[in-house]
Amino acid sequence: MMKKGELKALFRRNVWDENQVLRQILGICSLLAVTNVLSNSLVMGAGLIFSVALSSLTISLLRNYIPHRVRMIVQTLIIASWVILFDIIIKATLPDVSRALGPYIGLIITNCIIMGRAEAFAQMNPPIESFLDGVFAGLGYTIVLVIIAFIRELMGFGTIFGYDVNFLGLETWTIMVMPPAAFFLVGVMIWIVNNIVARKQAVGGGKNG
Amino acid sequence: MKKDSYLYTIIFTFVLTAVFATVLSVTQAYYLPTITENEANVERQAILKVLGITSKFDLVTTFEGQVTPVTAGTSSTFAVYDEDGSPISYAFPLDGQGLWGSIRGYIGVSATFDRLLGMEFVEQNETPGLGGRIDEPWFKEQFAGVPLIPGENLVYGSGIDAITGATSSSNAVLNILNNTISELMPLKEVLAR
Repeated sequence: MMKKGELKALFRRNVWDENQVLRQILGICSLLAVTNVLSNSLVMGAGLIFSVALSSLTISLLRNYIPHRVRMIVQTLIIASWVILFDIIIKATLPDVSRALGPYIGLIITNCIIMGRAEAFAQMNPPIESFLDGVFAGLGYTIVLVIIAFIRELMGFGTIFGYDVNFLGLETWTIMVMPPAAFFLVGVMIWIVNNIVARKQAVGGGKNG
Repeated sequence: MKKDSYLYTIIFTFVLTAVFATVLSVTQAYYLPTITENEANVERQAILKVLGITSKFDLVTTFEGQVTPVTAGTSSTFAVYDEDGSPISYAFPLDGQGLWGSIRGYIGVSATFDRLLGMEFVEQNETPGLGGRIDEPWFKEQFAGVPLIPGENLVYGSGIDAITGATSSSNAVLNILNNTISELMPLKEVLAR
């Protein structure tokens, strides 16, 4: 089992130091697509956490048996299976959400974060660590998604989780509803985070590695 | 057996694929009735909504009790009859091409074909937040009560507004609607019998 310190380090690395979206620039495609409303972003985040955690777990469990030359095909098979499973469950239990997200749930398969965690972590680490690594990586992605969706939904629709908060009757920005807005916002976020990291390294003498 | 040998690789991938495919098939088979029922409920809900039927009973009971499927022409039509058996209203399927994909739904029409009662979508793939707003209540509600005049198309501006920034989707809806209406006008006599 992992020690508490290791767990904390794993969490910190995945959510902050190596955030999938802000530091590794992965999962951008789905981010542009679903972040115009908060509810879809949360389901997308949940779907990704589910898929990446269970894919990492499965790949880690099988890591000593997977022949090296077909490992990517095997990873894709495992990832696709978990995503399809999630899709079926959502269709059966939350039909409204499934309808709202349309093809995006199935497209989690192509989310680079899952393959990234499989290649970079799960195939050489024990199952529990890999599972948690997946959960935290997905969490880091979800947090960014929610921040961007909050700004976009607020400015694009004047709502939060579908509730009207535009009490002043301000004009909403159509551009915030469209994918380019996410591009600008994620760019600004990357800039801010890079700045903070660079400053910390300058002060702390590269403590973060 | 060596892990890098061809035989091991083939057997491994074969077994793994079989295992995952089986798990997925079983899950799909298990949930299929629920998923089919969910999809049918979406249709039922839309049909009841365009016909303006609200009820304290559950969806399926209301639907079975109030709506009668009838065949007229090629489309599957749903009719509501009063106690004497004369029609009150009809629901017709709406089907056509949107900006990105097909748009499918239902419209409600009065028994005399002189008024649109409502419009609902069950499937649309328009841009979320832009064309996707065709599924917002304010847009759909505009079409309730619109008079239908044979030979005349519905246009935006006369009591119905298009969606700002979503001209193509707005026009697609109007086109589908006008096509459907012109196709169903001849059904008036067929259904009255």
